[in-house]
Amino acid sequence: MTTREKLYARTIAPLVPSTLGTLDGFPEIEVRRVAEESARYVCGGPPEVFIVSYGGVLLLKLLALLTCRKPFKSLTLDEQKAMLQKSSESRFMALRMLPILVGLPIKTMFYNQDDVCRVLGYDRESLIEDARQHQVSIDR
Amino acid sequence: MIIRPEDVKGDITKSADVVVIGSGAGGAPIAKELAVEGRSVVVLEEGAHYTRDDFKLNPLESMMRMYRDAGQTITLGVPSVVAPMGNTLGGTTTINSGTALRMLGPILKKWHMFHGLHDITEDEMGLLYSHLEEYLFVKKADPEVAGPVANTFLEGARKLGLSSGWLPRNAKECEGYGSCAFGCPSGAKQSMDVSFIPDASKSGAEFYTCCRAESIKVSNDVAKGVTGRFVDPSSGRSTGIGITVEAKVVVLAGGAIYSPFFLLRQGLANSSGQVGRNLEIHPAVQTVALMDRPMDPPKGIPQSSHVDEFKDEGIMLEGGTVPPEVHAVTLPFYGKAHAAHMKQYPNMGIFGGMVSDIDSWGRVLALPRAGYSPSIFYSLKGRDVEKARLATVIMAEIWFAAGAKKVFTAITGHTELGSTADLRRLAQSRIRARDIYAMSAYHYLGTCRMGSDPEWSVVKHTGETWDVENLFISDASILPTSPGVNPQLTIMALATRNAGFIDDKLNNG
Amino acid sequence: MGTLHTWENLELTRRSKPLELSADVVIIGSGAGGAPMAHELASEGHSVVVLEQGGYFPTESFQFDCTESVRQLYLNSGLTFAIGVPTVLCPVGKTVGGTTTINQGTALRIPRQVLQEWRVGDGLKEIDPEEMSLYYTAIEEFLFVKKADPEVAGNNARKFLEGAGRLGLQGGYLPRNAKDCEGYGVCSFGCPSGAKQSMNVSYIPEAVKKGADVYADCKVTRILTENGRAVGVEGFFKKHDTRQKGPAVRVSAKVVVLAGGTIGTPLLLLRNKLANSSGEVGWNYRLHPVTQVIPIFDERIDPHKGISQSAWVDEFLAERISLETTVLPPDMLAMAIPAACDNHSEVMSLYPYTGLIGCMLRETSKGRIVPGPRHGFYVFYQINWEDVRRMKLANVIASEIAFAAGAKRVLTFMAGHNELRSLQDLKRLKSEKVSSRQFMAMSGWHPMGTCRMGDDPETSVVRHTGETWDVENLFISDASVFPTSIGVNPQLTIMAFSLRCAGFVDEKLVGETDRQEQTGTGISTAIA
Repeated sequence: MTTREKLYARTIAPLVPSTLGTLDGFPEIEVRRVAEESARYVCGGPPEVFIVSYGGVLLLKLLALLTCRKPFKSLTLDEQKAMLQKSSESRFMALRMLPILVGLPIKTMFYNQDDVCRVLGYDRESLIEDARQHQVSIDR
Repeated sequence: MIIRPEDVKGDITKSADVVVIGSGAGGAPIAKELAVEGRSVVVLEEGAHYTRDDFKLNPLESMMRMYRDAGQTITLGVPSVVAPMGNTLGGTTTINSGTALRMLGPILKKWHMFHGLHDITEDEMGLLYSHLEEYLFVKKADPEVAGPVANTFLEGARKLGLSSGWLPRNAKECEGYGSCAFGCPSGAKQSMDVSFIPDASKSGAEFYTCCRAESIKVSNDVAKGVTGRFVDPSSGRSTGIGITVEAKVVVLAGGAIYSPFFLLRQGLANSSGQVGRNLEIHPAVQTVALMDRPMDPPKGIPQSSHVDEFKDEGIMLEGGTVPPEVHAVTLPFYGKAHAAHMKQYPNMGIFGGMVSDIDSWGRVLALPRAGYSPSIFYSLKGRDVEKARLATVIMAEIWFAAGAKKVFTAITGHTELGSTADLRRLAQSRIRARDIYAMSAYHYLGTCRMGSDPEWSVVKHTGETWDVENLFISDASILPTSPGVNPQLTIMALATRNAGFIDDKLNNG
Repeated sequence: MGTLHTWENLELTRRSKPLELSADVVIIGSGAGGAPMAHELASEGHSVVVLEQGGYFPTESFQFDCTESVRQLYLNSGLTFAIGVPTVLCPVGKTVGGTTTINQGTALRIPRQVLQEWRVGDGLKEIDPEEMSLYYTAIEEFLFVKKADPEVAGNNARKFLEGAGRLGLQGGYLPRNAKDCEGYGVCSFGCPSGAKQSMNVSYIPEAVKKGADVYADCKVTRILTENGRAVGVEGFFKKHDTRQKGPAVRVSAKVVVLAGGTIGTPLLLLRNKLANSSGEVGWNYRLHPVTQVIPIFDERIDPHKGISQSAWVDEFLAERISLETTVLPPDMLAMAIPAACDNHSEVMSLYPYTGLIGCMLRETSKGRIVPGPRHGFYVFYQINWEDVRRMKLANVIASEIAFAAGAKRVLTFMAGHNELRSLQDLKRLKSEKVSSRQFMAMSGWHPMGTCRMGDDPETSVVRHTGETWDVENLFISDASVFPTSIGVNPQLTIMAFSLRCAGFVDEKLVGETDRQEQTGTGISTAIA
């Protein structure tokens, strides 16, 4: 992992559980893995995306500090969620988009996990097996 | 029976089954259908009655006598649009070009989808249309009579591979006098005054001409009748003689400008707040081409051909030749230049492009100080400006393909296109609404729209208003959107349809 | 027989000497614009070199891991944004086969009306609809285009068409360039069975068989010109995954064809300060803005089972709206839903019960592409009010269809109307004005128009033949030449124009050979 990825992963990790929301019947969230995968994804894009996304995380944390008068980390999970929810329903476009922007890689990486997919009826392994049996030749 | 103002000696009080305000495409079919059913029908028409002997191929005189505001009605907004409409027995049908097209198929689906008018089915409309087409002798314009302008234009369109053809018209044995818009001198054009109205009066309907309806009598939200006043046909001033008609059903068929104006003045049927809103006018732009050979513009059928390749996009190109007097007005020149151009009139061809306006904004208001005249606000917006430009470009392209030397357009900065290079410059430039300096409109609609939701519409699919029982509206104002083509046949079809519901109402009530 | 060269088989890790190549024609880009032309010209016996910036991925490497696919196959890991309000996600492919490798495989012809508009409105009279239809037929045959099989189309499409049918709307299954498709629902992430006839399994291998040389992982940076005539290109190799830089490459050719897509082509021209006397390069960017609605049913839909894009409603094409069903695997749906916390997880837990309808516009808005620092670029795109209005209308229609199909609730991506629970909510949406700021997630999948075609060098970049006005022997063959957006998925049209352009390139090459023979130069290259 590059330094930039480590930095991003460390910053985004506290946001992971609250962004994903209440999950019934899903496997436990592996916060570290999700954060690291997110970092790898965001840092793989153009530098502007990293800047905007990282800036978004910092802003969100600042917002928590301003509205709840506590650092984001020391809020309870419910408080964190309430704060994110409130922001996402704001009248102002910037505030509304903030949790969505920040949540984008987190959500993708969590739902990309094989065990999570299986809960949703998406069995990757059997699909791969099926596709292997239905290969279409490129010869014509 | 058609009653002229000179036959009326004193105040009249009548009672009838139905009183119809207006004798145009919306009013006349209802009058005829119900009169034939044996109902007593009274029609009040503000305009005077002229017959074919009065039509002397004199456009200016016709405009003074048969057009409202002498044909000088304009809309307020950017650009200002000339919006002529008829004020005579037969309404605008007497002075229109006689194009009798059915509405486009997809539009009815739009009505179903967005206005909940599922009760108006395609099959039913099909039957109504074919009945009307038979009754009005609708057939395609005869290429022999159509005249050189139309033939040349179509030739150009064919060269470009554009879908085009001859327009169906409600004319019988038309010889192409080029004067449709000023009263057909041979009576060929089957406007209301030579078709539905004579048939209706044969069955006993009474038509009071030069009689302006002033208010609808309503008690307990039920329409009871109409009061009106006779006016002097030349000045429009009241003669002091009044008329009162008690009726079971009142039909308002004053057209999409005057019907909402009438309702707004009286504050009727407007719980939805939609009366006067949603005005669409089918704005039209013209191109004039200077050809290398004589075109003899006034000869032929003024509007006989169309290019419908872009009809789904909302652009219909329909040919229109005009007499020299009118042509002189449309040219963008002054003084000597104007005279020089007018000299070339015999070599000129004119064609019009009509836009179904979806993005524009229009509204009819009854301003308290404006007297008996509605204020029409309209501004061309968004895609419609683009469409007007595109229509101009397409027409110019067709003219050049047909061998034009020059094309004159109504767009500032591009008035004269000397070559295809000029045309390209127009095609790639961005045009704003204010750059279009000459725009006219002939089809006003949408101001008392039909719908399934009383909060959103003024009338039910039957034509009856949501708010006032027994008050029906039957004219272009009830069309929820543009039919995509000249609306007269659609107005008549819906009027015939409404007549059925009125008949039911009379049976039950 | 040519070769498909990759980083590995060229052993580029150990090589530092620049690669010198020469050919009749060099094509930059292997997508829908480049591949059919490569095939066509190679079949005619010309020597063809294709340079592709992305890597080569065989069918076996597509393993249903969409996130990984996005990272590998998409430009900028799929994180390409058009800046504006709202900011629009506009992903494009960067792999052998270009965006065709990661598109949905919808193979529609250009609507007749749009072509007529181009002919009459944009001065492209030489484009004959009959001729175009011949190209389309040839391509459709070559790519096994046929309507999606209702058996494998999936429940989402079935429900959608049921709803549309109840409303009396015209629609049906979409024609697709797929052969024996089993409906794995991951078209956009590389077809795992090779059924989708994207360029990487159709035109490219065939072109290679006919003698074309394809170089993957090769980024072109310069177009070489001599006396206003394109004579070759320069670039370097760069491994797509590790971003390791390899040796430089230089190709001399008689004709240079740019097929780098609507983003790549103008950037290359702008960086080289070429072909831009009109000042139009990079302008007129269109992307077919798309928003989605997600109906939630109370019966199982299992959206991933089936073809990802298989049905559409074309009733409103004239209104510039087309509605196409699309399904996404869980991770991509999770990314697409603009909700936070519990709202998000609640919808995701209902994944098996969701469908998805995409609302696509033939927009009138235009954007712009400008080069940024270090091979980067910026896309600016502001949707105009007409399109916003139309987009709302499209969402209304899609929701109406969803309710008619039996959806219990419908999620839209418009702030303030996130969830429609009844027709009453829908009515509220109908009556309220929506601003562009309210769109929470908008994407554009069909970039077009940055080097438009026309008949006037002052307002267009290329002629109807595809050749640029300014530089002789430099052709452009991709969606960037489209003068306006077309309203339907453009891949087939790009290919048709590619074949049409190939004809002119062929003429040019024949003429060029004659010219060089006369002047006595370049005979050796002509023989080679």
